Order: sequence, then structure tokens, then C-alpha cells
Amino acid sequence: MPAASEIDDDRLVRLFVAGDPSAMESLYSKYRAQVYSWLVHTVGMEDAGDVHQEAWLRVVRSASSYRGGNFRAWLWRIVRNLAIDRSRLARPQVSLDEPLGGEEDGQTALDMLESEAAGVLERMDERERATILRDAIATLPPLQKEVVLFRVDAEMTFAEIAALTGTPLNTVLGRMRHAVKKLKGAFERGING
Amino acid sequence: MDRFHDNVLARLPKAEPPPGVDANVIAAIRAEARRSGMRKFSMRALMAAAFAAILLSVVNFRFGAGLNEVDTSAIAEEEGDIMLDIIGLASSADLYDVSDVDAADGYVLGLL
Repeated sequence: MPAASEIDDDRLVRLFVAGDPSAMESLYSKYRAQVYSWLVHTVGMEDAGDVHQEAWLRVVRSASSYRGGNFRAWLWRIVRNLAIDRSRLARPQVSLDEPLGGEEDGQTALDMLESEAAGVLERMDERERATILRDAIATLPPLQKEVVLFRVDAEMTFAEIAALTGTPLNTVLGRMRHAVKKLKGAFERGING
Repeated sequence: MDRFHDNVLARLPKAEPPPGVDANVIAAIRAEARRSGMRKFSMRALMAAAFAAILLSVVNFRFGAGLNEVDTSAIAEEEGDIMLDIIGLASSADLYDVSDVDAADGYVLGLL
């Protein structure tokens, strides 16, 4: 049985298809920050605006073909597909687990992040700490990062993430556990000096 | 994991789309709603026109057929009356055999 918010979303889509722009504007207002924030941390600030607009254009143009049921899942499928297309063209990002200076160095992005963060995080305000954490998320391995961002920015449940990505729920939970372990370590060590 | 998520991750501020991006999306939404409204109006107009055309053709068929029946019978009736008059005239004049319609016809043509 769909949640009340999904029924509301479906009703808004129907109203929009009938010619009421304010219905889609309500949906946009509801999901704009989630989508944009997720895109900023997935495809990067430079491309986020373009992909965001493209995603919403697709939503409004294909709204008449939306069959109802779960608008959020439908929206995120569109956004994710566009992000994947865009990411294929983008440069690969550095992973937290990959050595930065070659094999002999052995120091990873996570090590550097943790050592740099130590002692300075406690002097930072919440916004700066958020920036550090965002940077840490950005350097997670792609599959872990995807789960974290769907959880943090898209505010999805693990079951929703599993359905959207076509991944078993246990795998999603495992990825989140590994990611949080890394993020928590970096963050807490930084705060405690 | 949950405590870290609730206390730290869930409180991470989200990036807001720049005003220009919002404006473009809102403009696209309104344009599409207008198009959608126009499509709906056009579809309704098309359906109304189709219905009117069907209705007109039905009425025309019925009415036209009626007219044809009336006209045809009226003309036939009129022609019959004329013929009877001619025959009667010819008969009364004792010029031709009343049963000879062709002769009566010839008589009338002769009169003309």
C-alpha cells in the first residue's frame, strides 16, 4: 500500500498533466534540494545544475506517461540515470582506499584526511565540519558513496536504495556499514584531536 | 551506525540549487503545463469537431433522403396528374382513344 505522501505525489502529477503548473511546482519544491544536493556530491558542482535541470525537464515532459505508484522512485531513477551518463564522461575521483603517492607511500586519502582533520575540526563551526565530512564522502569508493548519498541527500530508506540500484538489501547495508566506519573514524578523530 | 547517522550524517546541510537553475526549471514546468493544456484543448476541439461532423452527416443523410423521397413522389404524382389531365382532355375532345396514352401525349405536343 503506497504511503500518504506517494498518494499526494501521484495526485500532484495528475493535476500537472491536466494543466496545473502549481502541482509540479509543489513537487519541485519538495524534492529540489534533495536532488540538487545529491547531484552536487555525485557529478560535481560544475555539472549539477545542468543535470538537475535536465532531470526535471524529463520529469515534466514525461509526466503524462507516469503510471503512478511511487513518484519518488520514478524521479530518482531519472536523476540517477542522468548522473550515470554524466559520470561516464567525468574524470574518475580519488578513492579513500587508493594510495595517493604510489604503492611505496601507502598513505590513502582517508589517512591524509584524518591526519589533517585532527586538531583542526574542533575549532571549526558546524558548516566547516560539514565540509570536511562532505569531502570525506566524496572520496569514498563509488558504491559506498552512492549508498551514503542516497541515504543522506535523497533521504531514502535502505530498502528504497536497494530497489533503485538493483542491489540486495544486505549488500546495501554492508556498504553503508563500511562507509560509516570510515567516515566516523575520520570525523571523530578529527573532532577529538 | 544509527547514532552517527542521526547525529552527524542526517544533519549535513543540503546544497540548494542556484536561483537561475530554479528559475529555469519553473519556466519549463509552466511551459509544459501550457503545452499540456493546449494539447488537451486541441484534443477536445478535435473531438467536438469530429462529433459535429458525424452528427451533421447523420442529419443530412436522414433529412436529404426524406427530401428526395418527397420530391420524387411529388414529381411522379404531378406528372401522373398531368398525364391524366391530358388523357381526360383528349378523351373529352374525342380526338384520341383514351387508352392511347402516346396519342394523348402527341396531342398535347401538337397543342404546344
